[in-house]
Amino acid sequence: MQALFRAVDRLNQFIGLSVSHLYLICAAITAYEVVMRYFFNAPTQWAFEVVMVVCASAWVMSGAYINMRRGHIAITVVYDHVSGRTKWFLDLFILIVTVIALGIFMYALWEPMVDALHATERSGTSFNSPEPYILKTLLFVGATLYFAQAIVNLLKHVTGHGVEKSHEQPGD
Amino acid sequence: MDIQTATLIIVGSMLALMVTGMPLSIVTLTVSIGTAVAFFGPPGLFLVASNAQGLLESYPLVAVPLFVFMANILERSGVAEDLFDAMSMLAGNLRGGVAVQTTLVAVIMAAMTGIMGGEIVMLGLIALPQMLRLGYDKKLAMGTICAGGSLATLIPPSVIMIIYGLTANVSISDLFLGGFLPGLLLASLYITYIVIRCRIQPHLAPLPEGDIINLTGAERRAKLRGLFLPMLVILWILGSIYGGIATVTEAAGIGVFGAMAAAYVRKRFSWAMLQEALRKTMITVGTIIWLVLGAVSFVGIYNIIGGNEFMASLLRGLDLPPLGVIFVMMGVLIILGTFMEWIAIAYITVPIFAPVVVELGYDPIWFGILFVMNIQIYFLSPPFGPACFWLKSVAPKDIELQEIFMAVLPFIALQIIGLTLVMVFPEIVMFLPNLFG
Repeated sequence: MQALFRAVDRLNQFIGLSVSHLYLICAAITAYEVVMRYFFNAPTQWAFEVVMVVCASAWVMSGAYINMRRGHIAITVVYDHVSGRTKWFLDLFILIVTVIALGIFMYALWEPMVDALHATERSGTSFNSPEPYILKTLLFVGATLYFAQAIVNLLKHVTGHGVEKSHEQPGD
Repeated sequence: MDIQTATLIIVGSMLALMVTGMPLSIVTLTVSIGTAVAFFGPPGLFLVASNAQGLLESYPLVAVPLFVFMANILERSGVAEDLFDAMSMLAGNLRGGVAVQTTLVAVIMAAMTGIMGGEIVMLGLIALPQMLRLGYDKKLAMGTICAGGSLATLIPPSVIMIIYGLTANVSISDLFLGGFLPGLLLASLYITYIVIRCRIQPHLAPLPEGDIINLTGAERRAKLRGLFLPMLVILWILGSIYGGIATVTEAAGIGVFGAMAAAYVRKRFSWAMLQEALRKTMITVGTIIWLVLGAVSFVGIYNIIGGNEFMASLLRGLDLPPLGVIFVMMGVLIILGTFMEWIAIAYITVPIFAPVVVELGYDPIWFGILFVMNIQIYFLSPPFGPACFWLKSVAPKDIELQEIFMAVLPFIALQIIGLTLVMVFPEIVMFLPNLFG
């Protein structure tokens, strides 16, 4: 059990930190496109769609890492003022709802993704990439990672291995 | 089930779930799943999915992580220290000068970044120790920092305006132009207040003992050099948007490299610094995107069951003059602001408000600026004003959160004055967009 917790934690930590580099790539492609268009009068056909895919990968994949650190934004006025025992039950409730909601969300994402794959749905632009299909798949994978982390958080909670909460301000 | 009952049940269950301390993204996701299934059965789930999938295809949203990334680099580049130093020239001999100087630095920083959190932390680290060392009144110092730092949302570029532009379907670059004068208006209100208050109560801001008063020409020039990089970054970003070179998203992308260049010139650029900036960006944007995914799923479903139309008809049915309806909308924003994150507020309220605003004969750009000014007030307001929490995180240990909340009160009053002026004189907003648009 412990080994499984660690594996999922590490996987999501690895993915979270890795995908953060995609923002650098995203910035680079955008800048490249501007330079090509403005200085060389040769706009790319691919930058627009590639940037969207790269950026979407980064943000959907980071949800799990943030969930691992319990960093998602919540209203904690009541939560902060209840006893430890009540907190435990609130956490249990939150974790169960999270697992169920994400499970259903995954189910909802599955069929449109498979449909897009069979139809090899394409963007219809001059570049005509399979961007819609890729985005749908990414969202599904991101939701799955988030779901896996939510299950691990729930199991940790029930077995008494609490989750350290993040004190980092997410920033606006 | 009629839409009225449905709305009550939806709002009720949303509040009940929120109170438990559940992440907002999960609250909205759960409620949208519940609503979809209640109205359409299991097939309704695909509506939730398609709303979420559609979000990822919005190109202007890409500007958000790029602006966050850029701000994270600028924060670590040290340009803020130089800027603070350069601005001491303008305000050195004035009573309350350092507070005025802080406001000016805040305005310039705001024109470089579109994110408030980083700016308040930076000012808290640079300006607060300076003011406390000189014996400034703590409240005056902290209020100036929170109010000045939150100008980042109003002076372009601004992430909030990007989100508003996306949800209301209006031009983001026009919004940027529209925010410029109201931002300067607020800044001048703050400065006027500081100067007058320090004149009446001189003990609030002791004059420095001769250390910056007499500068040689060479020293002046050395200090002024600190202005060079920030001005270049501002020109780089805003120039590329309004010079017709780049879209807002592209400007954010090249802004990242402008920020890197600034950090390089300041000899602060390193791989480790870049890594840390990327990690911070990932965390900020990752929390935002799941919040937005939840909100978008919810809004999509609520719209389909006729909720937006219902809410809009409620607003239209109010027996009020047009400006009265605008007041009601702002009241709703203020109430929501006390318990919700701004980005969720934007995604939920703007699709309902924007069409009504247009029907009433107002410009959605003008309303967008009012919206942003409202969010700015919420950033400062107790009990959850994020600006105060950010300052607390870098303030000396003996400063209580309570003190910071007290400190921002006069500045909230100034913001309300600014908001009223913009409501009564829409020209303040529309002048620049009409000139260039």
